[in-house]
Amino acid sequence: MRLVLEALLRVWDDDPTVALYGLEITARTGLLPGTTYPILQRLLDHGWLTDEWEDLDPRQAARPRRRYYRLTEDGASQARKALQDVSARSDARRLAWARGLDAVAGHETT
Amino acid sequence: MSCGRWVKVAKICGYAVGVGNLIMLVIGGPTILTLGLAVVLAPFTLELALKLTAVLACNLVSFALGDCRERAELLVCAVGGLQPPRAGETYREAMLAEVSDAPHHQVRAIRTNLATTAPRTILAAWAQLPRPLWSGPAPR
Repeated sequence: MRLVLEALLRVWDDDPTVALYGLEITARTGLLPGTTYPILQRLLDHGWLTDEWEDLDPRQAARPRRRYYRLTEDGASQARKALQDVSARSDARRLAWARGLDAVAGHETT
Repeated sequence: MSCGRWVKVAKICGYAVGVGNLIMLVIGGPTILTLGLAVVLAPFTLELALKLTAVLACNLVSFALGDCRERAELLVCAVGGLQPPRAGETYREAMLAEVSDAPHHQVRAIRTNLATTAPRTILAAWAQLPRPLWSGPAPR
């Protein structure tokens, strides 16, 4: 989830009108389509993303239409906040871990 | 719970009873109960049996004859076919585009990934549970 949101936010920051389709998202995150699809679906369900289908006749183009995803304005601000929360949470966890290690080291030396 | 949600729950229960009844018919043989249930649940059992047959046939053909990309595409069709109609159709079209555009060296990895994530994707499509996007305690 974090990787997907970071990738989408980076694109949003460059140009909010640009949409990415699944394979472009997987290329930016390093995740595979089977993993990203449920994440994108959940983000769509929560209204953080909008999707649009490529305007193309699959028979003429001889390939299926692509589904493009873009963060909504509300989704972008919520994603930014959620990523900050996650980062703060992991910082706090790292700090607690370091404190725990210090306490154990102090206990062993005394 | 909304009316649409109840209809979905009823449909899933119908499918579950239908499958159970199919198994009872095969293993236990036809009895008045199983035959009666089979008549009542015919729409569920028949639709499910047709879907399962189609999926099995597709997979057998693809694994016997297809190359890696075709196998991945048929896997997408199978996973889409096991989801509710609208969600399945969307999944199929979106994922087929990704599989057909994927570079050749990635297709095998994508296929494996699709296979491993399929149960979760199918369950999520049927259940549609309102899960929060982020879980865990707030930062202190």
